This record gives sequence, C-alpha cells and structure tokens, in this order.
Amino acid sequence: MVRALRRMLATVGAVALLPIGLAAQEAATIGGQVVSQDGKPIPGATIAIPEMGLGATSRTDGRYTVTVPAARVQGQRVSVTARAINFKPQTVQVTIAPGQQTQDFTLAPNPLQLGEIVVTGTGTTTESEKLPNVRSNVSGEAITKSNETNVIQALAAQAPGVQVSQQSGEPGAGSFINIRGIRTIYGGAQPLIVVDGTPVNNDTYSTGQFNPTDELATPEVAGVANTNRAGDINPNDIESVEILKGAAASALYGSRAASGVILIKTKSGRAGPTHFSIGTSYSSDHVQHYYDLQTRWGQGANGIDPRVANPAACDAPSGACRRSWGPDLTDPATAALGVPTTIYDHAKEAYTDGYNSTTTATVSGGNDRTTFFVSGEYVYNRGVFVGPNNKFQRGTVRVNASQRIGEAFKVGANVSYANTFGQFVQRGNNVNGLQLGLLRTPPNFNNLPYLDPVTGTHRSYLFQHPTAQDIAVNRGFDNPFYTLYTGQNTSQVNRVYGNVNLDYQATKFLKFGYTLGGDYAQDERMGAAGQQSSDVSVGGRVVEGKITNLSLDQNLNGTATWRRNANLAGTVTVGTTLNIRNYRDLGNTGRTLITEPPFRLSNTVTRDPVVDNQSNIHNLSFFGQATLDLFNQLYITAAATRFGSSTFTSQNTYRWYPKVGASWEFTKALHLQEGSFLSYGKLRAAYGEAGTEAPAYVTNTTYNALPFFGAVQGTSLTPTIGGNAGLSSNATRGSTDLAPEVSKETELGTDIGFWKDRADISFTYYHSITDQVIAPLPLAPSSGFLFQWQNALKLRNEGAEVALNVRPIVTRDVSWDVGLQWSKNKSRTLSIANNVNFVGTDPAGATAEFVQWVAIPGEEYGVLRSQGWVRCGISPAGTLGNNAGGSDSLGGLCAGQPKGALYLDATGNPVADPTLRVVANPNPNWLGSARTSVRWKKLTVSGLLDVKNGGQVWNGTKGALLSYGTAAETSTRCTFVSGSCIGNDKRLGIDPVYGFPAQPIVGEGVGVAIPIGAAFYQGVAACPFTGIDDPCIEDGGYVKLREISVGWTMDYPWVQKSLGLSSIDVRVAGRNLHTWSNYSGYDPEANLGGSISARSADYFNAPQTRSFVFSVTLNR
Amino acid sequence: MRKFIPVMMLASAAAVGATGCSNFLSSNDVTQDPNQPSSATAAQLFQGVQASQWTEQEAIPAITSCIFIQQCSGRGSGRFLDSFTQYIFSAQDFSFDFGQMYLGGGLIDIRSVESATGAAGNLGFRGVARIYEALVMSTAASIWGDIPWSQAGNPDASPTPGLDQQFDIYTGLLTLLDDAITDLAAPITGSNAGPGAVDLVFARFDPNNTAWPGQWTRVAHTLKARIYLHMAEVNGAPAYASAVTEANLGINNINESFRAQHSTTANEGNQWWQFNVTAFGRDLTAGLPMVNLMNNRDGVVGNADPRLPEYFGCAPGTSPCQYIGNGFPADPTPPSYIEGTRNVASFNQGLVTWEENQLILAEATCAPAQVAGATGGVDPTTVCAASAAALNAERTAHGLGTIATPTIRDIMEEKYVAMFQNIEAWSDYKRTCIPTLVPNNGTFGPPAQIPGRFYYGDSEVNANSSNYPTTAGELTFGGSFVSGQNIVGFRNPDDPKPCP
Repeated sequence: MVRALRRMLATVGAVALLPIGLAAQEAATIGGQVVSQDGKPIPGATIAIPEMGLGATSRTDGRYTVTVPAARVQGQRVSVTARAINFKPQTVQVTIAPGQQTQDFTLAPNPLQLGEIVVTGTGTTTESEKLPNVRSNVSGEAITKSNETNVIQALAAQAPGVQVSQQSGEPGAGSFINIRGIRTIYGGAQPLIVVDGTPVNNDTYSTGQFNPTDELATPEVAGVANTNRAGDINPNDIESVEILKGAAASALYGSRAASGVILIKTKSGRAGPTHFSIGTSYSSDHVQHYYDLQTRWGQGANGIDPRVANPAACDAPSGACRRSWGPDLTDPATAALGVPTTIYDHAKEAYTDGYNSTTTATVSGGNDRTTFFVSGEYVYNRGVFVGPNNKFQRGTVRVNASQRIGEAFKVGANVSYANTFGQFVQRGNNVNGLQLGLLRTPPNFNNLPYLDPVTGTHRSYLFQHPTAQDIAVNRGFDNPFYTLYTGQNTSQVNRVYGNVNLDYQATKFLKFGYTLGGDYAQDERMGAAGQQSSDVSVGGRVVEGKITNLSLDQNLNGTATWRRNANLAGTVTVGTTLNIRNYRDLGNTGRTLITEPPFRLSNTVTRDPVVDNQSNIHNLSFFGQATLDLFNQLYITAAATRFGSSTFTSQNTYRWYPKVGASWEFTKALHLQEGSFLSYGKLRAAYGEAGTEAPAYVTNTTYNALPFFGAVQGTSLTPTIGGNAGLSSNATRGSTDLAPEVSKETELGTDIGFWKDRADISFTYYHSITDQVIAPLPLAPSSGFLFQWQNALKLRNEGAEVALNVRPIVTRDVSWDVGLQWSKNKSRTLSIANNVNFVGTDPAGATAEFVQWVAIPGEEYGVLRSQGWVRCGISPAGTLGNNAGGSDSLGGLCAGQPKGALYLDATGNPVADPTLRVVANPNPNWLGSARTSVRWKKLTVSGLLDVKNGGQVWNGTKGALLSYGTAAETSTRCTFVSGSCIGNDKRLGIDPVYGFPAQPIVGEGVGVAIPIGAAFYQGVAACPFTGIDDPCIEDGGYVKLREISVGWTMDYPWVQKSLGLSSIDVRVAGRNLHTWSNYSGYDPEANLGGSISARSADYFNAPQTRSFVFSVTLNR
Repeated sequence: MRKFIPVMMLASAAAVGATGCSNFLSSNDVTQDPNQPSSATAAQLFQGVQASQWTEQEAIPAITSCIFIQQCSGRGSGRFLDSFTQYIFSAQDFSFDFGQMYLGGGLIDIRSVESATGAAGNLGFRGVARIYEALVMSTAASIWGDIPWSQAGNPDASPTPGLDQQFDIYTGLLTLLDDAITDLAAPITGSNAGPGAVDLVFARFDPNNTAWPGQWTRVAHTLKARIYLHMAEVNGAPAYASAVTEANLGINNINESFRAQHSTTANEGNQWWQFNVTAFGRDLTAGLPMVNLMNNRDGVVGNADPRLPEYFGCAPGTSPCQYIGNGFPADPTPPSYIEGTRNVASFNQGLVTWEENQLILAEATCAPAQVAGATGGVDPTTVCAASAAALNAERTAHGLGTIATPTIRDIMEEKYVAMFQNIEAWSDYKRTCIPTLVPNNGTFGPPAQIPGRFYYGDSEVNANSSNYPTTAGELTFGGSFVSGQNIVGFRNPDDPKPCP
C-alpha cells in the first residue's frame, strides 16, 4: 500500500512539472462587471476560463479582472463562465488577445440552483445538475435566521430526511442529528461534520464519565445537559451547508461516513473595498410549556399529613412524607388540624425570563490576489432558571485569508478559535436534579427560602427543619433552589480548528489541492454539589476532569479536467487523506468537602479512583473519482475509496468503498420550447457504500480496576482494598475479527422544474442495507464476558423524500415562495449474529441503559424493550399458569379476543407480564416541514413549521409524578375513609385513566371498577419504579412553529449618506413559538440523553423555550 | 515560483509517505490499549474476586431475599423495592447479579487464580480460591437452580455454556471443597506460601496469623454443611447426617467467621450501609415478621432480642425507642429502617459464620427425625433435644437465654434472626418454612407464593437462549426443564415443595 501511495504521488508530482517551460508573450486582461437582471452588482461571483484553468472573483461592486499570462495568449477562443449562488451561470465565448477587453455578465435568478458548484467531499466538486444524488443545501442565511446558537439545531426542518432533536431549552444544551434513520450503533449514528474540507469533532461528553462510581451505568441520563462540540461553531460564519445524506453520496469518506456527512463551508473575503459588518441580536427566552401539577392535595400518605401526629415527622426523609397523598387542602378541616394549606406554584416558581445576547462583527475584503475575512462573535445566553448557574457564553474569532501566488498558485488559511463557558444545572435521573426535586414537591410545601431562616441550613420538603448541625445529612431530594443556587457545573472549552490550504492550477486541465487541517480542543469540566446535598453527594461532591481532543487531517488531491468536444467531457480525481485523532481525559471525584467553597478536588476529604483514558486512531485513504459528461445532459460519476483504519483487526484494516451514479437532464433531450410547462427535468440514480469504524482498542482483552457496582447508583466496592491493588477481567472481550461495517445504499430520484422555474419538485427513494454493523454483541455472562465488539447486525433503512417549492409571485418588488418537505424512513433489524435475541442501541451495552432501546430482528431499529401488561396474543402461554385440566389459562380467556386485548384480574387491575417485549417504537412515521417567505421590496416575512408524525416517547417523568401524587392527573382521586380509598372508581379500558385508553379487555375484571388513587398510581401507573412501561408510552408527534421572522433591509440613500453605511438589516423573529402535540410532558422532543443516547426518553428533562428575537446589523 | 512547485509537491508526497509508513495503521500506539493492563497476577485478580463477590453477597440478591422472607420490606416506597415486595420483577432485575457470579471478579477470575496458583505450587492459595468458587456457585445454584458451571468461564471452548443440574453442581462443589481442604492441608513452605496479604479475611489485617489454613479449612467444612442442607429437602436424612459431620469440622470460633472486610475508605464500605445512604435507603425498612419475632423472642411478649438495636433504628418519632416492622399492606406508622449499630461503613458482613455453623449443627442434628411432609417445610413442633447444646451456644453468645429442649421452630427462628442480611436465610426458609410467613398479595400471578427463585439473567437468556427456558416457562414449571422435574410454581429442584 505504501508503495502504491508513493508511486501515485510520484506521478502527481511529475504531472505538476508539465507547465514549466511554456513560452511567454504579451498578457491579456479580461474585465467587466457581473450584475443581476435588475442591474445590481453581484459580489463574490466566480468568473472562470476552464480551458485555461484561470479565474477570478467579483468584488463588492461586481467587477472582476482575469489576467491571461502573456505566454498563453495565442488568439484562441475560450469559454468564460460567470457563476454566483442563487443565479444561473452564464457562459460566453471570448477570443484571447493581448491587451484589455471587456466582458460583462447579466445573471438570471436560479431558483433550481442549476450550475452551482457543489462540494462533494475530500476536495471534489461538481455542478448541481450533475449530482447523481439529491442535493440538500442549507444556506447560511437560513442558519442565521434560525437564531440558534448551535449550528446543528439550526438545521432542524431544513432538509427532508434530516431529524434534529434538542436536549432541552437550556443554554448550551446539545442537539442530536440523524439522517435517513439510524443505521449504526457505534458513533452515535450522527453524520461526520466537515468544515471547509477538514473533519471536526462533534462529540458530546458527559461530566459523569469522571464519576463511574455514581454514574457508571448511565452518565448521560443524570448530571447536566452537555454541549455537542459543533456548538463551538459560529453560525454567522457559515456560508452554506451541504448534507451528504447516504452512502451513495458520502462514500469518499469511507469508514467515517455511513451516517452521512455534513459539509460546512464558511464565509470568505471577496475582492473589493473592505466591508464591515456589526450585528447585535437580543432574544427574550421563556419556558414554552409549564408542567401540569395538581394543587389540591397535600403532603402525606393515606390522606394523612404525618405532621399532624408528629410535627417532626418530615424532619428526616421518610416514606410517609415523600408523596402528596395527604389531606385535601381545600377542606377546612385540614387547616384546622394545623396542616399548611397555602398552595405554592411549583410549576413556575423556578423560572424567570432568559435572554440571549449575540454580537457579531466581520471585516472582509481584498483584491484580485488577496482576500481576507475576519469575524468575531460573542454570545451570552442566560437561561430560564432562576439563580446564577444557568448560562452559556461563547466567544469566537475566525480568520480566513487567501493569497494568490503567481497565476496558478493559491494559498489560504482558515483558522477559528472558540472559547465557550457553560454553567449548567443538574437534571435527569438524579436527586440533585432541579426538575426531580421541583416537580415532586408537595403543593403545600414552600421551597423558599431554601435555607432555613434560623439555622441557615438546606431545607427540603423531606427535611423541613434542619438544625445547624445537619450539614452532611441526606435531604432525600435536594430543594430545587438549593440545586439552582449552590450546585456548580461548568464546562470551559478552548478550541482551535481550521486548515491551511493550497490550490495549484498546474495546467489548464490539471489542478491540485492540498489541505492540512487541525482541530484541538480542551474541555475543563467541573461538577460540584454542596455539602448539604442528598444521596451520593451527602457532604459535598466535586467531579473535575479535562477532556482533550486533537485531530489532524491531511488531504491531497489532483483533478484533471478534459473535454473532447461539446458532447464529451469529464474529470478524473485522485487523492489521499490521512487522519490522526487523539483523545485524552483525566478526571477524579472527590467526596466530602472540607469547607464550602471552594469546589475543588483538593478541598475534599476522599477521592475515588482516578479516571484516565486516552485513545489514538489513525486513518489513511486513497481515492479516485471519474466523471463523464455525455451530450451535455447525461452525467456519470464513479469513485472508489480505499479506506484504512487502525481500529480493526489487522486482517481487515482496509476496505474499498465504491460509488457510482448517473444523472440525466432529460428535458435537454426533449428540446422543450422556451416557456414550456416543464422547464427542467432530471433523473438520477446512485449507488454507494460507506462504513463505520470501530472504537479504539476493542481488539484488546484487558483487565481493569473499576469498582464493582452495588445495588443502586452510588454503591460500589473497589478491587483495591486496604491498599492492596486489585484487578478484574474486563467484561468486554477483545475482538479477534473486526472489520468495517458497510452501508450499501441505492438512491433513485428526480428533480423537476415547472412553469419557468416557478415551481420545482424533488422526489427521492432510497434503500440502504447496513451489514456487519459494529456493536458490543452480548455474550453469555456465564462464559465470563458480557460483550464482544463484533460485526454483529444487519439493518435496513428505506424511505422516500419529497421537496416541493413554489414561487407564485416573483417580481422586482414582491415575491412569495412556499416550500414543503416530507420524508419517511422505515428501518428494520434484519439479523443479529450468534442467535442473540437483541442488542442495545447504546454503545455502552444493553445493560447500561436507563431505558432499553434495542435492535430486535423483525422490528424497527431502536424499539423499547421492557415489561408490559398481560395481553392476548402477546404474552406467552403459561403466563397466568394453567387451568385445573392443564390448559393454558390465558389461552382460554383470549379465545376469540383481538390481539393485544388487556387482561384484567378479578380485582379489575392489569397483571404484569414477566416476559420482556417491545412496548414502544420511537421512530416517527414521517417528518415534514413547511416554510414560506413573502418579500415586499425590502421587507421580508417568513415562517417555518416543523412536523413529526408518530414516534413514541417514554414519559417516565409522568410515571414518577403519578406515583408522587403531584401530576395533574392525580387531582381527581379516591379519598381515604377508615383506611380505605373510596371513590373515583374507574373501569380500566372503558373509562378514561392515564395510561389506559379505551381498548379491548378480557378477564375476570372486565367492567370491575377500581378506585383510582394512591394505590393505583403507585402500584400500576408508576412505570419508572414498577418497571412496567406500558402505561407511560405516549405519542411523541408534534407540529412546531419553529420560526416567524420579519426582516427589513434599509439601504436607502439616507442610510448611506447620513450614517455612512451601505445598509442596515433589522429583524424581529420568534423561535419555537408554539408546539401542538398530544404529549402530556414538557415537550415531545424529549431527549434525555441529549446527543449521547436515551433519546425519546423523558425523565425530569428540562423544558424547551420559546424566543423572541430582535436583531440589527450594520453593514458598510 | 514554479521552481517551488515540484519541491512542494514532493514535500507533500514525502509527508504522506513518511506518515504512511508501514505501521501507520498498526503500530502499538494505535492498536494496544494504553489505558488498561493486558495481564494480571493471581494476587491482583483475587483482590477483585473478593471485592466483587462481597458486593454480590451484600447487594441486590441479599436485599431481595431479605424482602422475600420479610426480614425487610420495601412496601409503600413506591419504587423498585416496593415492586419486589409485591413480587413484581422481570429477568432484567437480576441480570446484573446473574452476571456478577461469572464475569470479571467472578468465576472466570476465580478459575484464573486457581489455575495460576496451582501451576505455581501455591496450593494454599488455590484452596482459598476454590472455597470462593464453592461459595459463589452454591449461592448461584440456590438462587437460579440449574445453571452453567462445568462449561462456564471458558469462552473459547464454550461460548454458550450448557446447564449443569442443580444437584450436580452441589455434588461437584462438595468435591471441590474436599480438594480445597486437601490443598490447605499441604505444608506451608516454599512456593506454597498461601495468598498472604491479599487474603483480606484472615491475613491482611493480621500478618502474623499462621492459622489461616485451618481457619479456611473450617470455612470449607461449614460451606459443605450448608450445601448438604440445600440438598436436604430432596435427599432427606443422609443429607442432614452429612451436614452434621461437616459442621462438626466447621467454624468453631465466633471470631473466625468468614466475613467481608470493609472500612470507611471510599468504595470500601459495607454495601448495606452504602445503600442506606442513597436516595433508595428510605425505601428499605424492617420487616414486620422479623421485628415481631425479635420484639417477642421465644413467644414471650416484650422479651426483646439484644440484636434489635444492631439491626434496626428506632421507628421515627418513637420515644422511648420502638422497633416497628413494615407489613403488607403498609402500616401507616413509620417503620424502623435498617440503621442499627451495624449500619456503618466498616461493618464486616458475615458470609459464612460460626453462628451459621452452630445452627446448621442444631438443625441437622434434629431434622432427620422429622423430614418435610407433603406440603413443604418441616413440622415446627418437632422437639430437638439433641440440638440444645449447639443452639444454646449460639444463643448465649448473643445474649439470649438457653432452651433445654428446643423445637425445630426455636432453631430456625434463631437462624432467621442470626442470618439477617445473608442470602442463605432465604434457602433456610424455603427448606423449612419457618418462620410462618404470609405471602404478600402482589401481582405475581395466581396463586401468590413467596418466590422460590429469581428469573434467569436477561443477559444470559439473550446470548445463551438455547440453554434456558422462557420466562413464562420458569414461572410455570420452575427452572428445571433440563432435569425434567415438574415443579409447580416458581421454584428450583432443591425446593420442590412450596411453603403452605
């Protein structure tokens, strides 16, 4: 392989020498102006002479100059093409002659984006009509208009087949993105992010990884919201985003591309006067939806407030005080007993108005040889929680400069620096979490003040009167305001990423490109709970750690362009990429604060074992791509990548990833008349393969010193006892034969323009088989190992995407366009190796999941496997035992009944089915979006709707709050009379009860009414505690009004004369204004694990927010 | 400028060539895990074995069995211990615990220690490791019935280990313990130095202790006696007789019990204490039958067992202190929590104790005369005069008076109290049905019984599905589909008769 590489490079080098030695005479200069049809200059247009490999970029006044070296001026006739985004390219024939000549261009609008240069990855480009795949392009303007701080979240509803879900509305909360369904396990099923040709890190890390003792199993569902590292990118820097959706498009990225690739192109300078831009925006953020809580029933059990008998009953955590099954607070008799009856609004008390202030500045300019673009941004996002610890700050600086050296050589550098600082609030499955303590608080307990006014110590509803000595004493659950004001959870990131790049036009047909990129980030984490915290944080706990990522990426490619005649042309590209990634983390957990503050490891009494990991991954690839243009209407592309990764066993280091595709502009063959109904038509077909690499070092069988997990979170025993060092076999066995997983995707589609481009529609069908999916395959624990990374699964994804754009009005002063997008993906797990029944979709392994989303053959990928109720046709024979005669009891009851009919025992209650099964499917039926934009002169009004149909959510929050008696559904309940709960009798399956909609029912209990109250909600409906998830599954479909914005561009003479500015952009917008959904929790976009895992799971997640934005940008 | 071009191209090529050298994708830097060791000594693994199995013996299996036999209660907590109290659980709930018997720190590492120490001629060390294997697998077999053992822990030869029948495992473990006793009898010289300081039970905290071979030998005999009792419901008198024989050779000193060693150092604390500190600690309370029995020992109202304050805290709000158990349905009176004087990080939990040995001797001495009847359990009124000495030695050691002519109820009630927080107490109840317990009215399936076993671990069923019955099959027929015994209900082969 190395020899082959060197041979190839030798060839490339030899070709590079070709231009040397050509003759020299007198230069020719072609200049002019590029304008739109309404006469406006078009800056940034590229003017190229492809045959000569020469070109230039128009300045801000639209003017350009292309100089042909004297040696190449031979009076030849050449094509000169001008291109600009959103305009149709124009080509004219020019005779190259010594001296100056003028050639102006007037470009027509290009709603179909025909002729635009599309970056297709690893240094390759093509024109949009030649793409064999559907093009999904998101403009920088759309990114900016979204007002999202995180560029991934800004892609929500922007392209069909792309699903984005945000962890919460907290500042800095991460977002998860998936393209065309989940088709891999390791790597999070998210696409590779490439910025200006260099892959960048978009991982999400949990601070909990430094605290395996408390959060060994599920660091992602407790702790704080975590930012995905694409959140370091300044959205205002983005010029455009190309989304390579499937393997057929992304094959050149080899083993890193099975989940697609997102190519981000950042803005660059343009020749012309120096341009300044200063913008500021301010958004006011509010909780979109408050939780529905009951406000009638007080703290206690069995209708009794235990403080009546014993005023100190709730001065230490106890079962009798834990819930809100106490007395009726509206009953005067309750107050007469001395029970506090004042109601506190726990649903709203922890929130305030948040805001986001963003300031941006750019300076750009240059001349024909030099361009520069400098930008800066500062974001300050104050969250909606009260207290000082809910904010996110980001400062970025970017410099993008290029210098043309001679006529054929161009060197550039594009470097970004980002500094982010987030202060987060504990959430999720965590007694130090805000929502858990807040929503469980009985309505008649005042959470304020959170410090006892007499003793100054932390008071919570389970520990109401702490003494001054009650410092390191468990409160049960933290008072939410103690969480908000005391907890310190920070992430401080310093990151530099970018590249230097060289372009060399060696001959008129041969061009080389070289990019050397880097991405270095250090993330300093701290998570601290105060001395008076609860549970595993009693006495105080400090988790500190550092995460360092370094990535180096090198790409060298050469492209030869040839044209035999008007009907036959093509390109050949060869290249190589090299990638080095180094990850390092180092952290520790300290327990029992000596004093408070400071929150530092050094200020703790004991320390857990140190967490200390690093990994190194190397990739090396060689690729080639050839394109063939036939008759200027049929375009064929074929490519192959030989991709190698160090993560596989030695016999499987390299793999070929081919792709082939064709597109045919059939309307050219039809020779349609100008003005025909059908203005453009293209058929396309593509096939490609892309892969996923394995985690580092999973080919090793090792030992570790990790503590052994005990009964619950926070309990463990270390193998190093009494100072004696201990080890144990890793539960994961080293793989002996691990090869790349491969997605093989076929894509067919058409793009059609109508009515003089007033409308266009794009339809795409795709079918993908992902084979040899890399996963921690469960082993029989009795073998001594729990998992082994193997090529274990086979998955299928197929679906369709439709995009319809209509431009009913297109005039100089008024325009209106409407865009509709729809996509549907259907996945299926086809097989699992070794007859294993299921595989967890969390790379950490099935047993580590808070909610067990799994792959099961025959089912959609990522379904929820859990316990449900005994149901006909679903529960196995024998579940209810046998009748006296030996026949299956359930079979007899279910004879003639519909599948799924709910069995009710003689008491009228359902019965738990001990056999685990699929109880929910989080995958949406379809996704859609609708956007519209109306422009009247300088005023533009636009809107965006985001639709998700179907997809179930596990609402564990509701299950818990039903158990605690604080959910609004428990407002109506049976009441205790002489120890029995009387009233509110309901017949399950017949009468409306949460978790039990009307449905077929069987059994002795059909029609038997049961009192719905504490016993029911604690024993039947409380899914997080009973483990029976059936009643907590809700429809997660939604329609979200993502955006309404009004923009006004003021470029009037008075602006230019009075203020010395070229224009002022003013915009008022609303983001995430409303959600229509049947979901009963905060938001159906529930995403407990953020961008890590545990998606479609809701367990004391933070709410989403709506924003009202005002922004002003001054341009000069 | 053009002069530079070939130079730069060649430089690039050189850069790629250099980095693309032959081991760019295969050097140790990128293929060898820098984070975790690839080898471990027997001593290091034995440390892990002890930590792992002490965790196992004190965590979910112990808590759950404590709840099942109503020494403890999770009733009214509304969370997973409440579900256990109502017998609502699935294969997921015990998957981790099933695995912990075999995974790192379990059988696979125990076998590595046995192999390495045997090869090195350190027979004393191997003997101790074999005792751990017997403890672990006898506990597993008692809980799950037929399980993998002979093929387990050998992933190359047996990636999906087959089942051994429960009685075959017991028999095999008795032989293994004999082998351990033989190992421990070898002269302690030269390479046979024993485990030394990594024996955290008898040597770590007493480096001058040279009595460890004898101490471990006696533990082995007590374990053998325990295993014979496991077989007694089926095998009857011969099993009891063997238990007597072994118990007479078993632990004979209250200070030489096999105890898990704990300390106040982080991650070294007693697991019961650690659990009590967590948010779930308030979910686990004293069980009503246990507290009632201890409040009124020997049927005498107010004759409190001296161990009450060791086991439980005063019920909240009671002054003077009262010990109140949690029944079914939950009593609204706040019950006592598991927070007696032994609820501290450094309490060394007994795993195989002198108390157990004494009470095995007492039970086994008496039981051959009144082997279980058709309905399960033993006749609690059976008089066990010959057992008085063994029983009374244990009772007086814990501040109780002597009983001249005890019944089997006296013996088993004392064992019920003495074996608090030990998984073995569940086996005692299943065999004898003493004390009398009323099953909780849960959603376990008709008719409600105190569970006789756990479900097989979900992870094991997932990856070794050909060797396990379905969950519903376990529920209906017990776990003995291999041995073919038609056991009604959720039981194991050593416990064919449910308690009435």
